[in-house]
Amino acid sequence: MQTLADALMLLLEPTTLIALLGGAVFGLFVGAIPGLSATMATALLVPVTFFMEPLPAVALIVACAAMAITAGDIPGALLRIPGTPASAAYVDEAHALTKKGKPELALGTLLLAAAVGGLFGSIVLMTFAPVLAGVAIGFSVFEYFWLALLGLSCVVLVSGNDPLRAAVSLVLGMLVATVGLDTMSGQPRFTFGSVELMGGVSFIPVMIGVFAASAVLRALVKGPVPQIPAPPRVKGGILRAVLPEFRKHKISLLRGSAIGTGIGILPGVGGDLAAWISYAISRRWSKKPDEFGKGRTEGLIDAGASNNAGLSSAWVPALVFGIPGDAVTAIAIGVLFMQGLNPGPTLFTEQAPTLYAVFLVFLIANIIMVPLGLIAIRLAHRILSVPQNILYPAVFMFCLVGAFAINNTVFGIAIMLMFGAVGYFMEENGFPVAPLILGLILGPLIERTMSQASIISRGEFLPFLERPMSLVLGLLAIGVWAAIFGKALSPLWKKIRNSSRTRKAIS
Amino acid sequence: MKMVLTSQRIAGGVLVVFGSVLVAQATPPLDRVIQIGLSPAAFPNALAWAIIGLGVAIAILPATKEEKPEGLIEKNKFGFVGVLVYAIFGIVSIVALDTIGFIVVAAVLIVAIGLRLGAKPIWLGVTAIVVPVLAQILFENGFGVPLSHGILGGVLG
Repeated sequence: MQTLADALMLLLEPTTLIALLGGAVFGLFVGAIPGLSATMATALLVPVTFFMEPLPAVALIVACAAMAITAGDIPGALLRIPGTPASAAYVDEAHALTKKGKPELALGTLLLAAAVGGLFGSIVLMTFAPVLAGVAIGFSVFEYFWLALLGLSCVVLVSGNDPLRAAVSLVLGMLVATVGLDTMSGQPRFTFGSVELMGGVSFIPVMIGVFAASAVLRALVKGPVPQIPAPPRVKGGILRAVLPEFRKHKISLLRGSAIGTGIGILPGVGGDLAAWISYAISRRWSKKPDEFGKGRTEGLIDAGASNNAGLSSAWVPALVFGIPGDAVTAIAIGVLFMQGLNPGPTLFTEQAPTLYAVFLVFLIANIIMVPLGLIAIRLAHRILSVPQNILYPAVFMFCLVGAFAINNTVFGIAIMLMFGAVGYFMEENGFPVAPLILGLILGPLIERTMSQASIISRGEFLPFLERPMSLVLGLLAIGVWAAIFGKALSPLWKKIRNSSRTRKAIS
Repeated sequence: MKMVLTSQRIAGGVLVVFGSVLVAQATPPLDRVIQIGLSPAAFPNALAWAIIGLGVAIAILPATKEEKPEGLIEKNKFGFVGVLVYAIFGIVSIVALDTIGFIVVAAVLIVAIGLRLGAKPIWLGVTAIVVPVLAQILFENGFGVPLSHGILGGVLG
């Protein structure tokens, strides 16, 4: 109880509240602009957090991410341009309502569902994370090794259609993480005599490059940005239109929140997948599946709640094990490390008040989402009419200043620009960039635990699987890799099957 | 059977070459200082081999989605210009930031990028003046980041 009171005192400090509100407004604006993603919004804020106290820094990131993801529904519903990968799951459903002349119903439903889902996920985070931390405190390096490997494996499995390309992205991220002095031996690796590289490649310029500078480069390659068509104005009482729908679809709200939370908790999976799965389940279990795609609020409630529930619960593995679920949580983990709040079970005992204040930040962020979201829906036509060809130059300038601010040297800018190009070429060739960041964050954990474990096991493999929990985690990781190879080889099986069928048909 | 060159095969080939370079040259020939645990080169080497393996798999396995042969891929005529502009902006910002100063460099970059993206000059002019000044104030006075004043040193103090 005392911890909670201390946490509340920390939360009520003006700097924390200002950061929370500032992050929310920034996330709302950036998230609502098509082409500027929630990940970009979060990445651009990281240099600012560098100069803040731990709690306001985390509050800024949490509020920005939650709001940007919700705001991604605005261009989706009004213009059929999904703002986030998750909102692509239900963009047709939301836009169908707009076409029927009910944009307030589409956006209001998504907003309220997101807030309720986010609160559900936050409550699970508050109750489940400390329990899991109690279990994790008994973990040895073997369990941590398998857990990190499992997290990375899940990232590869769920990142896009091509697991091989996701694996390449992941390995590249881990390779970048090896630059600098080896933590075990102190020997330099890939430093090429550069003093700057001795300390390794800072994740902040890499992240700004991959998520923000690459978007500017993409715009530069495409040339003049066409003006977005004017979106319809949202009129009418939003809550008055939405509340009866929620009374009708209470089960959907609960189901979406539960599914999103469950998926978000899985290490390395994240919340993006949750909206897709929830929408599919909603359609399958609906009494009127034929009405899906034509503006049925049931699907929006399921998917919207799931989306934000997954975002909150993805922090469970992030805080307990230091394993992020998605790119946004990976960025947040980087911020935690930067602020000295090293994720892990000891965080729950050594920094309990700050950690509980972080939990409260989640609750507040999801509560203020409703009034701020309602304002944003009303102003949507104005936000969407801000010319993007003015925003991209401003984004590039913030990339420069953000990358410079970390060490006050232009070396950070060089790294940012290089990874901007890397991110652009990777995405252009179908390589997802989120695994690169996860590899960069988790690479050192994998190498360190592998090295420590091999010292303990005297170079033998069997001890890696001797403890019951490490055996379970090891088998799970191996199972996920089997699924990855199965998914990668499936086009080959298909091709062989088709050619043998063709041969049979000819003969 | 004729092997068709697709972007997938090119990507796979590039990865194999990159991984091979890492294995052959770039991975440092490090001696073990500590005789137990992993050697400093073991993990990067394993990753380099993984890149080679994945590159081979990408090159030889069928694409997950239908791909056009390289010759049929529609080329963006202005793509190269975009990449070149990005590279020039990058070099300019690295070289000129210290000497010319943040506000001037940022303003020039904003105008150049905005013009390339077809922004209206009036909006661009306002953005090029207001945003760098606000950023300088925020980062210098708010966070203590010493952004270079450069040629505006006399004005900014």
